[in-house]
Amino acid sequence: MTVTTSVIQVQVNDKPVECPEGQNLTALLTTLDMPLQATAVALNDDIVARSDWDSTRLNTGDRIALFQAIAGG
Amino acid sequence: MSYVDVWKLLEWDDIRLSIYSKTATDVERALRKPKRDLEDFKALISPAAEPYLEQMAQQSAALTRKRFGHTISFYVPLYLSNLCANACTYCGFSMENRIKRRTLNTQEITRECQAIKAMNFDSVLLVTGEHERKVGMAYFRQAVPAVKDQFSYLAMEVQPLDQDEYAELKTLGLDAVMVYQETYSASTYAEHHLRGNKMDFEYRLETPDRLAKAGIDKIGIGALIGLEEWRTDCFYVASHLDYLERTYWQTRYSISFPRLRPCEGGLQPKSVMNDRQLVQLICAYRLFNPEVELSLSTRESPQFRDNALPLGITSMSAGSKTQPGGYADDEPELEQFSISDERSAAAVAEAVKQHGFEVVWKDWHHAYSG
Amino acid sequence: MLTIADKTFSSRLFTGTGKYANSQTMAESIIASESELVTMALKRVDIDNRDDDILAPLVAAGVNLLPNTSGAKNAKEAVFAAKLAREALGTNWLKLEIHPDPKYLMPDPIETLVAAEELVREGFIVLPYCHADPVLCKRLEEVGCAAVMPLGAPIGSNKGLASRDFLEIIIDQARVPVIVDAGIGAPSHAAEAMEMGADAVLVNTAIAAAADPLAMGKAFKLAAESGRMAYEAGLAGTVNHAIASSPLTAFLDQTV
Repeated sequence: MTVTTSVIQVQVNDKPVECPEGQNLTALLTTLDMPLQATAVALNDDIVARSDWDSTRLNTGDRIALFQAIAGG
Repeated sequence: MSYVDVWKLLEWDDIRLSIYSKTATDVERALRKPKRDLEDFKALISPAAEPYLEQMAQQSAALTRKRFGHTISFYVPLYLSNLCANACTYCGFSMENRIKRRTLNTQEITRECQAIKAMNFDSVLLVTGEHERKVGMAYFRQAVPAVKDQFSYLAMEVQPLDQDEYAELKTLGLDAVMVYQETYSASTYAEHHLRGNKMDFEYRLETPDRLAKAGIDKIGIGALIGLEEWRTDCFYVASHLDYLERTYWQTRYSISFPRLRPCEGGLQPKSVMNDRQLVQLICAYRLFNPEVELSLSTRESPQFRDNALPLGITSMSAGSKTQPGGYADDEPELEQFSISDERSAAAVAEAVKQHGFEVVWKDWHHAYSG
Repeated sequence: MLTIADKTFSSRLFTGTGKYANSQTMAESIIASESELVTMALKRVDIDNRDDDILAPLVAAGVNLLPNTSGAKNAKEAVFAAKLAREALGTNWLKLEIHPDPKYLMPDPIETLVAAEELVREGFIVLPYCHADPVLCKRLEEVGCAAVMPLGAPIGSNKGLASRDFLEIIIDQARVPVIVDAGIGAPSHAAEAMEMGADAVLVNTAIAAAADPLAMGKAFKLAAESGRMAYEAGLAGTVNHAIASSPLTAFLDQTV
């Protein structure tokens, strides 16, 4: 018997991205090659604490915003 | 957090030594600076500054003109009671002194107010001894609104009260409170305050903090010059002012410099301050703080007051009676201290005018108090 | 040594990371300046077009991070940005800056005060960037900010201490450290701010846009140090001319 994981569509910084259903945030960031340090994540306008990334699973239509530190005064 | 915490970190002897170690160079530097700090104040009240008195006076006068113009505010003390539960060695009202005690009733207060109004005053300082039970909040709740009804500005000099009591009196019309620490040396303070609530040094020291937190418009502080080494005590006053201004930046402040006067009790000052030194102190305060009100009472002679007036003073009392009922009937035996300038308010006003100043009888309107 | 909240600094020169040609130059200039507190912004990542990693060299240099909320136009956005920054960088230190005006980048005093109060409540160490308004600085201090950061002149203008008269008042009245931020265009401006009694200065454009940013970083280091040394040594001050008039104290010579 084969088990297939369905693929869902989410938005990352307004760009459509496909990922396996139920994937957690940590995995998504890794897939996108985002450094896990120095990154902040908001899911549907709510900030997700780093400690919750592993347990936060994505659903269709989720809007993820990723932030990182950049140069500034 | 209150000034008590700051006071605890200061060492009386270190400060005294520091003041006496100031040199002519320190004084010259202080005079040159546009803004002076507490170290500069020490230099300006030190013996090393005495030869620079004229220069200090010139600068002090100029600073005062810049901030206050040619105006002097007049106020009058209204003694409501000489009942006292403290025994202070330097005061005519000490409970140990056998004097006739009197507390004015409402009618008598009204008569005093009428007499005062006839003298043209609009700013009154209510004074009592310190008797919590017989002349406490219940009495003040009557007296404050009664007097405030007649005058634009009301100050009090009574026993230290709690913050909520001050807040309540503010709603009844209280504008300002004078509370002098007498001396900032706790050990000397204990020698002079032998009975009663006034023995509590720290509660008294914390009073300006409570006043500021209660939102009182103006707070008057000072030391009774002569109880202790005057330069050190006056430094503490400057340090107290500095702390209060930084912490309660929306409050106004006033400094007085009463020199120990003879009274029924006959205490000799530990440290004598002569006239030159009083001028030096007035100028030092002004050079240290261009905005603070500096108030000169009738403890000083007419000649001194008239001449010191342009140097930094912004507030004066006149025609004062230091006994309860003194304006309506004059009875010398009850005086708290004997005054030196016995001229009438009108005479002092005329002298002030001759010196090129305008008397401000009223600088407040009750509408501003909301 | 300068203490702000839970940290102590031996350098009173704070620096920004913006406007450099590349992050290597940025890191080297900051290291040359010996600055121990560095600001940075937070931005949405462009997944396809990554920015330089500015953090790695800074963390390696051991500097303290001070994320800012630039981009926020009101208190709500600033609070959100602050929380993102805290998550991303693991620090509760924050430079609060809210400038709804994109032309002159003037800080909004009302939104800043509102945001400051909330952020202090949420446990941030708030360093608010504001105009050199003495009353505003007292209000920010009262709501619990760890320092105040009044501007010397508009951001990036390099005009120096246009607000010096007000900075003097702020420095005189403050009970928290005063960091002059924005407008410092030359080491002499930084020295002037320190001579006035400022606790620190924050410099970005003047170093980043210099022809030789490394050398300029060093120049600013020296300026901040010398200005502070002069302040502590007790400046001599200019002569105050007294008003010429007849002697005011002659009356004391007369015996009564």
